[in-house]
Amino acid sequence: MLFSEIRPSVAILRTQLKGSSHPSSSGSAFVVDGRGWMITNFHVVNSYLYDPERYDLAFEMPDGQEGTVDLIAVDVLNDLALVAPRSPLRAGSAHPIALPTPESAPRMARGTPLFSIGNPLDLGMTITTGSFSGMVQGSFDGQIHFSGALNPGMSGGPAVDERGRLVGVNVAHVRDAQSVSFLVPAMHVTRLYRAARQSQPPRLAALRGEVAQQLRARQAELVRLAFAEDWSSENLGNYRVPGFLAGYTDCGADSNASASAPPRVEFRSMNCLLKTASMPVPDESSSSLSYQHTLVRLGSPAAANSFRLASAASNRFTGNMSAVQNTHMARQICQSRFTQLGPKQQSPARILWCAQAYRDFPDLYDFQIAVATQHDGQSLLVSRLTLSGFTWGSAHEFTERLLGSIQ
Amino acid sequence: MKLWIEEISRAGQTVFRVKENVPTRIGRSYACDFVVDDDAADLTHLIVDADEQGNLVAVATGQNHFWIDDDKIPVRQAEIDGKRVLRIGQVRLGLCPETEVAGLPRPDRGSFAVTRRAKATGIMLALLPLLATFALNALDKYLFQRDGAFFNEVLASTFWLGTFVVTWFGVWSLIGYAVNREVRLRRHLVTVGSVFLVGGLIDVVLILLASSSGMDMKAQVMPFVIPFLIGSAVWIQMRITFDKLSHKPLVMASLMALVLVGSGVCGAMEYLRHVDSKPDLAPLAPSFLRLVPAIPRDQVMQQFQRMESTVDATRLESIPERLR
Repeated sequence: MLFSEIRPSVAILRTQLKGSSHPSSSGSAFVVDGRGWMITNFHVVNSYLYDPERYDLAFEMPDGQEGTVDLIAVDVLNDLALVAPRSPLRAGSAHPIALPTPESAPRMARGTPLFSIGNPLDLGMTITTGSFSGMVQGSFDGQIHFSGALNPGMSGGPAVDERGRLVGVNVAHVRDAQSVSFLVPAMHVTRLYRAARQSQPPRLAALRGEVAQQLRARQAELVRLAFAEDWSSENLGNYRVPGFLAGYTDCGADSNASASAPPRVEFRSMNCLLKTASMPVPDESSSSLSYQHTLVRLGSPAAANSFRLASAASNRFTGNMSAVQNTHMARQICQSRFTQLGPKQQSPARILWCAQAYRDFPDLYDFQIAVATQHDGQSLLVSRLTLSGFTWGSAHEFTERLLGSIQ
Repeated sequence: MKLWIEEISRAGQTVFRVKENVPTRIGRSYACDFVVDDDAADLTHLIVDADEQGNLVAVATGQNHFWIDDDKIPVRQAEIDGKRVLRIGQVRLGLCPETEVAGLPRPDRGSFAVTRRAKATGIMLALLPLLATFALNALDKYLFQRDGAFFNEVLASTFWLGTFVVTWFGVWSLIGYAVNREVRLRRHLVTVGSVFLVGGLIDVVLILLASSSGMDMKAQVMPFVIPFLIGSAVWIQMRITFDKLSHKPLVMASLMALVLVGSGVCGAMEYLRHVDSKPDLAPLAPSFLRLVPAIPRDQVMQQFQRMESTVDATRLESIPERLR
């Protein structure tokens, strides 16, 4: 019953090569007003935004209506986009899904049944059931935790409650997990639509500028949060390293130590990841932050060897510092220097920094910074900081703070 | 009458030998009756034989020639008698009465003499740089890969090197035999061994320098060094194999220029291909190997800041074809 009510308003949205009827990717979208304007995810339409000479955005309604759409507005931070059909939909063919206001938004308790509609794997429109599990804990983005299945192709589809009221927009799921999915809260949809409902389709270049501006604002907010408080400090061997940042980070620990077979070189690491990411350009997450500290220690006195220690630390130092290889990113440039860390001014350190510019965003970059320092001949600390979609000034601030925090 | 031959060895000593049987072949090839170690001589340079009247006649083979006494005009054929001395480079050849043989000068003790035994010793000695290369390669891996995978690393790498070297010698042996009917193994061994040794030494020095001082030049230098060394090895081996070619300075100079240009082009291409690759180095070497002083942190941050304009400029570079 619910499905038959909602289904006429949900379209399949495909990114397809110009002149081809075959999609290169597909997602979902839903009608939000009488003109046929639709909401979808930004990551469903971003290929078109950056390569309009190559791609078209085509929709297909359940009653068979087909056509192409223009991009009206985007909200990169919440992964939303508003699109408008180039030719109007047939009158009465689709009932717009009502957008909630702060007053009319459904109040939900954990466990409230939710229904998500979309076009999984381009197999046709389906509905999946799940439940509201609250807001994602400790997330910068404030998404809804949906305990139900979302599959590729359902992105951009609506999630509604039992009365058919819009609760959110399908956006992501955790790979290799069972029914752990996320929705963009419906209030963000209302905000985007209200801000853009009087707009004409803007030039795509202007929209790309808008994306850049949103990303700058997002990274500035991340920096503000990261530096709002003093960084906590934790012990790792006989080194002190920065711990949690701003309460939005997930940290884990790892070690190769084993009681039965002690390794020749022991690794103990702490990995932290800021729980946020957006995808401003295809295949590239941005505004993400992660850091890792690894203590590399010689396993036994008999194995003590400076070369071995340096060799073992080498992979941790430069490993996985690969550049993103796509048309949206310029080539990566790296530099390396020796310096001194900490108040003792006696710990030698080597710092390696790599930066890669976004071709589409004039002042945003991806950074990878590695610092190796050594207090004694038995152990060595390698710290790695990865910043995606940050300005140079922000990266400078982070790097300086990192260097000052390692002792 | 006895046939005698005198040559000035590479060590500057006089070698004097006597022979009475004809026909006698003279040249650099070990297949000759008189083996001479003089670059001016061809593999089988001339043959001395008796004509119908019983006179001894020297005939140059192929395109070769020789000189008589102090004449400047080369000849290809000449009768040998007790009065004439034939010359090829530093080699002199003549006849003398049997009664005078005892009075001919004897070779100096320890003077150069090409014998089968000397050849074997030479090959053993020539193997040394090659063996040193294997040792250096193992040392390289040993220093920087001393962990559980050490043996696998060293054996795999040495096996690769060995396979390459065997193939390399196989190819040159075939070419050498086809051209000269001899392999000239000793010279090839010395050449290839030396080239590998130089390459290995440069590699180890660069690794030590980089891990100790942070001067990450390996990725920049080796793309030029490797093609140059390979090109040089080929150049020397061509000289060893193709006698005619090796006596033509213009040809050899052109080939060396080709090697230089080729290694420059190969190096530049390889460098550009990996220009954005990261240094693959140990972050901190033991303190006794650290060559450059550390700079203060604020200077590091200033350099970090200065890199912005360089990175900004990369936005204007064209997108590589492979990414389009």
